[in-house]
Amino acid sequence: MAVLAYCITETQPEITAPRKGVRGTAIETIRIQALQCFASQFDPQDLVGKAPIQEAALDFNRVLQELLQQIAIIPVRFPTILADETALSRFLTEHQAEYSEALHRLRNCVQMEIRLKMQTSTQPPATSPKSGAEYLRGRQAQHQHIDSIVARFREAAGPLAKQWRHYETAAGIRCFALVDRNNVQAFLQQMQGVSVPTESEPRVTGPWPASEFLKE
Amino acid sequence: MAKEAAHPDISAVSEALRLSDAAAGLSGRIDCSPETIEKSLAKLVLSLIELLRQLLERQAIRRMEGGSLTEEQVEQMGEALMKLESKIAELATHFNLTPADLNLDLGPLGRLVE
Amino acid sequence: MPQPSEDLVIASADLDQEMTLLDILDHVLNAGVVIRGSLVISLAGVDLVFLGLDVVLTSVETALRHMRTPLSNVNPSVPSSKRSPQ
Repeated sequence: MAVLAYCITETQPEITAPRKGVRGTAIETIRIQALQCFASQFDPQDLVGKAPIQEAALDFNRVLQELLQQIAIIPVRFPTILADETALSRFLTEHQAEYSEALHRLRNCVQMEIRLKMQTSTQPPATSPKSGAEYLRGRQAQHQHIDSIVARFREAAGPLAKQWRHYETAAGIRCFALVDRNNVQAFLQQMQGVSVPTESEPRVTGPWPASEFLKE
Repeated sequence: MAKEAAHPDISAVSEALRLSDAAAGLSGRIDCSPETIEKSLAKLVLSLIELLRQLLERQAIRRMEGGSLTEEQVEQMGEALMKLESKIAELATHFNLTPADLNLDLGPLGRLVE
Repeated sequence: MPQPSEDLVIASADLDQEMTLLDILDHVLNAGVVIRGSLVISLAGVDLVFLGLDVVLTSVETALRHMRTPLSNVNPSVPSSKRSPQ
């Protein structure tokens, strides 16, 4: 029977699996030594159509969040459906060393995220550039402007952010901070103090699983 | 409850499907009007060029900041990029594409690392 | 104590505020490890076949119509172990 995979965790400490998975399915664990993968028996046909998919995605997130409250998790991309549990065991075995290392390093950590609606490509020059050099320096200034806004958040996080990543996407700037799970409130408080241009529409979300920090 | 909205990734996938269908249409295997194919391909090509422009711009700025460019090179680089930006805008207008249309979300491939 | 910014929106499970559908979908669809050989059936009403990281997503219909390789393993009841590993 096909299985839908949720996430991977260490087996210690003992945690409680959520009672229900996606579409009311039961949640089981597949264990390989000190790692376990949470999964549900699942009929892929149940995901056909837009409404079921979105419902299932929200449910999937609920499962992840319930587990994240107890332990560090490596989420599996949704929807990932494997042929059977053997396929899942095989996958887990293949990546055992890698995931054990990551989960050990990420113990007690969660990921907080800041989104900014700013893009270097849409920053127009302040004045019409008269030369190539002026153009390039103008573009540099625009980049620096955005960098400085990102820096405000990073500075506000201070030592609360054990690690930091940010990059620009089509949707704007995304920043990720690796934070101790007990510091989430403190982190949010620090973020509230940051002043930014209104049009950047800053948005802080989390906690999330530390997926941006899986690789060292 | 959470707001219903067109999720950008879902839109992006639909977009990719339309574009790939358009590309397949070129080979005559799928019926597709020439205008649709042309605009879809123009969008894909210009989006990729725009992404390239952004990468090149970052590269140029990094080198300028690193001091490895002479003043003349800064001028030449800047002028080339300025022309490129202008050309992309011109072509986009020609195909009735907005700047938003050229903002292709390539997921991990499109990440412009700072 | 810094003045709270009026512009900042905080949507955090800890504060019992709702994350929007966009936040959640973005994370579950994009963050997380990918398992090769897994079968992704459908997304947003379009049947998709995820054949692996190197292959472009295409609709099942298009794939069946135009690809030479018989996609017998598009049928979810056929075990994907028939695929070559990795």
